[in-house]
Amino acid sequence: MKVRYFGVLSEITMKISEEIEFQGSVSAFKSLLTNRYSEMNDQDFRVAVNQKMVDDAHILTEEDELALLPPFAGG
Amino acid sequence: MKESTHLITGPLQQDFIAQTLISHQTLKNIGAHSLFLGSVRQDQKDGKTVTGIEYSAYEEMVAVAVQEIKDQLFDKYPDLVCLHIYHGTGLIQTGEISLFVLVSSPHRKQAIHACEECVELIKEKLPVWKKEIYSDGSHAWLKN
Repeated sequence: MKVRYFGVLSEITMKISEEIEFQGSVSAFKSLLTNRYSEMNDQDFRVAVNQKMVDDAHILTEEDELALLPPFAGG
Repeated sequence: MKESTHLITGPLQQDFIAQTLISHQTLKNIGAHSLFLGSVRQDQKDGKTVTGIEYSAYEEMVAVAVQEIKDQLFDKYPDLVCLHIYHGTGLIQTGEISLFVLVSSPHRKQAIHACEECVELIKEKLPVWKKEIYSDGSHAWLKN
């Protein structure tokens, strides 16, 4: 599963994207992520799967593109 | 200057803005253009001066968000002829233009109101992030 990091999250992970093997819910994925990158705990972000916002109960599959989106700041 | 549908690398250039306006001259049903330009302000924060903003975007999702914004505005303002959104990405220095919105309609009220709403919707919905760069080389991530 491709995971893309935007805004301050790319600074925390020091990556713009990575491949992570995972199956399960978004909330379980968030736990995995905060274990790997502890600073994520203090961050406010939403999750998009294949360019659509999803909630914590959403189930992820291997073919998904996941994007972690801090609060928007355009314009 | 790389150009996807809505994202431009670097600041929006005056030539590009002028050309976009000129290209609308052939649309004879337009009576009003309302235009918004956002530029980077030289703010002072904790004794540091802003020298620029580095914008980044989730390009694929920008396209989805722009379509949603257009759908919403064309629905609310059915006379609109067209609506263009261009956002700069990468480093944009103080005084340079980061956002260009152009809304055109037969009469002025819809163009003016839709342009204003468009800017607010962009701030709410566009997956774009900004990193403010300071004169001492430090930076900070901003939220809307």
